[in-house]
Amino acid sequence: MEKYKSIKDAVLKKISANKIEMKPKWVFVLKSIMGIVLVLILALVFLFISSFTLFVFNQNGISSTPSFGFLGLAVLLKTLPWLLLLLVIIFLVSLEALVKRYSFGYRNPLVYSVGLIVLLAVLGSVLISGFEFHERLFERARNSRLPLVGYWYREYGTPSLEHTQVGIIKDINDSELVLTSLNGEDITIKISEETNFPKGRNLRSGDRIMVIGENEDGVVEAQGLLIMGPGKMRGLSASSSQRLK
Amino acid sequence: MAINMDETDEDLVIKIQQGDSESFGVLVERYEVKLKRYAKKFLFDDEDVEDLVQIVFLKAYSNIQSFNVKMKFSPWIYRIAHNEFINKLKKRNSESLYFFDMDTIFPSLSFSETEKDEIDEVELKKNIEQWLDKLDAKYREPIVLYFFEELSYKDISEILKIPISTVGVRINRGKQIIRKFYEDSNLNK
Repeated sequence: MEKYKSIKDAVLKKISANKIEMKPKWVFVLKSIMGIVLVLILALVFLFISSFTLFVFNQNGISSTPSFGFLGLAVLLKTLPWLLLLLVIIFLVSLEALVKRYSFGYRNPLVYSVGLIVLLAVLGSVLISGFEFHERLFERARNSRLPLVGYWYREYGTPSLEHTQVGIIKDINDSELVLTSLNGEDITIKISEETNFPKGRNLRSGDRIMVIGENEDGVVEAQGLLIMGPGKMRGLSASSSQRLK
Repeated sequence: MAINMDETDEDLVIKIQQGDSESFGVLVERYEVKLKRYAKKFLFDDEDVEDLVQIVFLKAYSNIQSFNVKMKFSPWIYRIAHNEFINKLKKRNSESLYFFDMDTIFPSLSFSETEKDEIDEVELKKNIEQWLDKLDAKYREPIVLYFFEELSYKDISEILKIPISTVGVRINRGKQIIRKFYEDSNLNK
């Protein structure tokens, strides 16, 4: 750098010689707008992925598996949608990094801003779930009417947990029941004294249940049964199970 | 345009934003000594200080339209200096720039700005300078800004972009480390 009498002298000479230019205000306004737009886009994508993950958990009954004890826990760990969870974390970290550029982000400890993002994502996901947004998209994907993300819905939305079967009870008696899975397949569930039953009420036709046990040629020796929330599997209810066949 | 030396930094920035580059000279005069002192105490580098501070002012001028005149000017220009000095440290690669700590993640419930420890502040300030080079950059910088630049915790928080509680924790930890060096050196005498 050239040597001047003082820093002031050097700076003012560079300014007057146009060696340094003042960036116009619109550059910063544009940058701010782009920053906000980026945060909004990232937040929407994050909300979409979070709510989709919640949908996958509900659809597959993943969150119910720990009720089956150690075996259920092992099934849970083996079948968690790790890629989706990784995406949720990547988007959470990216969003937090962007939010930290703004004063409300950096003025508070990380736990507050991350907590707020997670809270908004959970509330948003629950709200989206209430409108059955992903269930509708899943329906479209099953009918091959959903481009781009259709594969994801078909891949993650169909219950495919190892050692578990999810479906609607079509028929039931003392020793076995017939379960209609989402793809319309009828599975015979054998019930024995070792089968863990849900507490609260008896099973009946039309219940959406999860069964833990190995499927061997359409017959499952049930180790445990669990009633899942109603109406989560759009297009699969007692009345529609015949249609699926 | 006439310059009244009583004008605030923010008043001068309004003039500069309107095209009065002479007013920038007044800001340079006001901050030159401060930024040089900050650079020397934080970087321990006498050779490049002039060039570094000049770059800080040139960047400040170039980006002056981004300054919001409703805010304070001093944290804004110190922030530019902080970025420049950190880049210098990175290039030098001679010390750890691991600025992550738990206080940035969790709130420090026990901390308050008025908190003092048993160290005599005046005595400590006299001795800080001799032990500054023993401190990690993440403790040294808030110590320099607080004790030598006499900035508030809030301003330091804006400059370093960390929570105020983290500023307090880092200054207290820095003071504890310096006290230890101070006590050890007294024992060895």
